[in-house]
Amino acid sequence: MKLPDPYKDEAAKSWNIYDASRFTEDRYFEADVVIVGTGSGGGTAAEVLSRAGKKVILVEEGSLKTSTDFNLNEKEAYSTLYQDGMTRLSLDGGISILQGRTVGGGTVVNWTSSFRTPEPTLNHWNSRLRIKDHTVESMRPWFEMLEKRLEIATWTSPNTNNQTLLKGAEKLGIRADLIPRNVKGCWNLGYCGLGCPTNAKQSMLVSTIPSALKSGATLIHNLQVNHLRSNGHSVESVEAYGRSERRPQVRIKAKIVILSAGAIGTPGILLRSTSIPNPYGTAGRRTFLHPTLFTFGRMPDEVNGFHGAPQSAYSDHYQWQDVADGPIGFKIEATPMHPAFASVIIRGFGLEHRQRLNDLKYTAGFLALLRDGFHPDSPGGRVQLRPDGSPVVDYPINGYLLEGAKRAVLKMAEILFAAGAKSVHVGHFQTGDYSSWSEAQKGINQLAFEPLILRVGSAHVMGGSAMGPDPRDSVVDETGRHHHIDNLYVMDGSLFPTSVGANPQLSIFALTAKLSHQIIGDGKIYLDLPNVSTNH
Amino acid sequence: MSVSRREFLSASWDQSIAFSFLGRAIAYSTVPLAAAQTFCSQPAEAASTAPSLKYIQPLHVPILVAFAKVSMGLDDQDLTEQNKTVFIANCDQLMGQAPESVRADLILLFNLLQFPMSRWMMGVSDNWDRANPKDITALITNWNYGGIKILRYGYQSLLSLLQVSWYYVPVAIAGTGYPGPPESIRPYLDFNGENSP
Ligand SMILES: Cc1cc2nc3c(=O)[nH]c(=O)nc-3n(C[C@H](O)[C@H](O)[C@H](O)COP(=O)(O)OP(=O)(O)OC[C@H]3O[C@@H](n4cnc5c(N)ncnc54)[C@H](O)[C@@H]3O)c2cc1C
Ligand code: SF4
Repeated sequence: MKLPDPYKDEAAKSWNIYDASRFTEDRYFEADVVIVGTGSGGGTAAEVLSRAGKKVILVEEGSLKTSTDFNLNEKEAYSTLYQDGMTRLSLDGGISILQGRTVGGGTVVNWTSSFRTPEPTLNHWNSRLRIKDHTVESMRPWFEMLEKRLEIATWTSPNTNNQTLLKGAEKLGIRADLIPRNVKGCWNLGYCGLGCPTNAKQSMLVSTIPSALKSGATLIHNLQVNHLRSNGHSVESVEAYGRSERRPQVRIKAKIVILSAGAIGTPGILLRSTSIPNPYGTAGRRTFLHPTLFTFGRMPDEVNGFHGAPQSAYSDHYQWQDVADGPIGFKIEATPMHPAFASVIIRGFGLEHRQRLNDLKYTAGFLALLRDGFHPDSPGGRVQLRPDGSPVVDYPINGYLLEGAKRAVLKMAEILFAAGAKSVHVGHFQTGDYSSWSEAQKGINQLAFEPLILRVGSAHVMGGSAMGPDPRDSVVDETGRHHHIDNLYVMDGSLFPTSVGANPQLSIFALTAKLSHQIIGDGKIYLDLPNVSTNH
Repeated sequence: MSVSRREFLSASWDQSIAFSFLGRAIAYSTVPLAAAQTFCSQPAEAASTAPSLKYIQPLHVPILVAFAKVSMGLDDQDLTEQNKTVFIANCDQLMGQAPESVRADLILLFNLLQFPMSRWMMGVSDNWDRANPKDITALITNWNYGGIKILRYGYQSLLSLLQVSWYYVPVAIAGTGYPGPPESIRPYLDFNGENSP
């Protein structure tokens, strides 16, 4: 039996799709616009610009995998759909970083949580970072449109793991709520992180990219952009090579070049492009990760956190108490609990680790995202190049973050006990199994909160090619255009001047939709929305 | 005795290079790396029993197994020949997907560990396939809490590799009670049996 797969339809036979790993000779392409990267930003820009009549080429270093390929096997999914087979680390190994690498980028493997950019974040950008164009008011219509486009709606059937968060929070009087998700006819399976087999998830792979292809766009996958060649004022060509042993060279010329390679990939391309001016060394600076901590509760009944939509409840109770001047805020959510993924976020040594994995079915798992980049003590990290030219983020974990990490872990433990946990352990190598809240407080306070023994993860890479009015502390202006290169734009998560303070995909969809419409500039809306003829 | 050997090793690592690459640290260690590699590469190739492995040498296998047992509470019943083969193949594949520098660090670590002199200096007196788990535990404790960041980085990178590779093995998945994807979707999947235990 087969479920529908848009890429296997009759109509898809006319789409222009190339697999660069099969190129037997060097190739040359031309277009109006070349978009590097096909994730949240690249996918959105591709739909808008193609539907506006531009000849668009989409370049993706990952391969084209579609719902027919998604067999819900962790090993296969992590090795084919993620950067570095899910082994990506920050420079000193202190943070493990999850990013997609496939057609559709992070949207193919993300957990579907869809939040608007929080108002305190937009206000902070406006008041402290002099971002004038992207305010609460001016962004609102874009959030509304993207919510329509990607079927974003509050998910009202939380799985037991997410119910545990709601229950514990309610008991403690902590504000918590349900999460909107970008799904249409979701089967509530719980495998959003392994590629959605039903195409319910409205990732770029099944929404904007097919729409761009229908409008005549060309997709070249397994093609890695190495650098841009410029004359100091405009990009002359995009230099790439196919991902095969032969490494065929591919040159693309276009009137407009858009970098959407994600917040490590985009700064990486800029840094490799030595002919692109970087006079203030801003490319790659101020990269943010929402450093993420984990805590687990052994519940009396089965939780089966590997089944059911992975994220559908959250608490912002501790997120916005002092936006820029106080201790770091954090957002609490649930985490999916498939065995291999769980084996890394669940910590401990020897038989203790094994026992915790043996209890997987009974384990509720929470995570807390630290809202980095707002306070002066949270300058984020910096993307740099390894000797082989690959980008890596150097992100020191300092005392300011570690203080927040401890508070976050304690709060998650408290919520788990309030929800009825029999015991709690945390994402720290030396964690005990604490059997009461008072024991947990004592135990957690005694743990050394230090990098590497404390598990810190990230699935939200942001910044590094920040937008802003001043070339001395940003890479592009508020339209996304490079400060020094006329025909070069950035449209992805690397635009953000701080972290978002919420799972970032909807922020990226909305902002890049707005920016790509500004490139067209005729006042019409080119998103594939039902019954839209409105001007904005 | 073994503690002082470990202390000796720790003290002699050049702490002033507060540079987080394990490979660099190893290059500065008391054990001449070139010697380690020369010593090990010949027999490793000669003894190659698993030609499908790209990065892991046969002499690395007992090291990985010894660390896996201690770190994840596994025993010989878990690591039957068949499971061990799958586990080691998973480690090798994962290393192939890791960034070049991380892979190079891991290979350097394995090469260092397989060298009997360095193993002995770290307090593990027997060959890896007979090593006393207590010695390995003490070694890991020293790496994690001995105050040298690169050693902690080395162990924690190795640990993630071992954990993911082990929990990709069907028998390990079965041990967690994970039943695989829900029944409703199975008829539609290209189901190869690896999705569930
Ligand atoms: C496991 C996981 C769960 C997540 N869950 C959520 C969630 O629930 N909600 C949410 O809002 N966000 C979530 N995120 C984050 C979200 O998916 C990302 O923030 C978002 O997709 C980033 O968009 P982007 O356009 O910046 O880059 P990406 O989506 O990362 O896309 C960049 C693309 O560029 C390609 N690329 C990189 N370098 C090159 C190059 N040199 N040449 C060619 N192509 C290149 C990459 O392969 C990639 O496909 C999650 C992420 C992950 C990994
Ligand atoms: S829960 Fe399942 S069906 Fe729903 S979006 Fe995620 S993977 Fe697709």
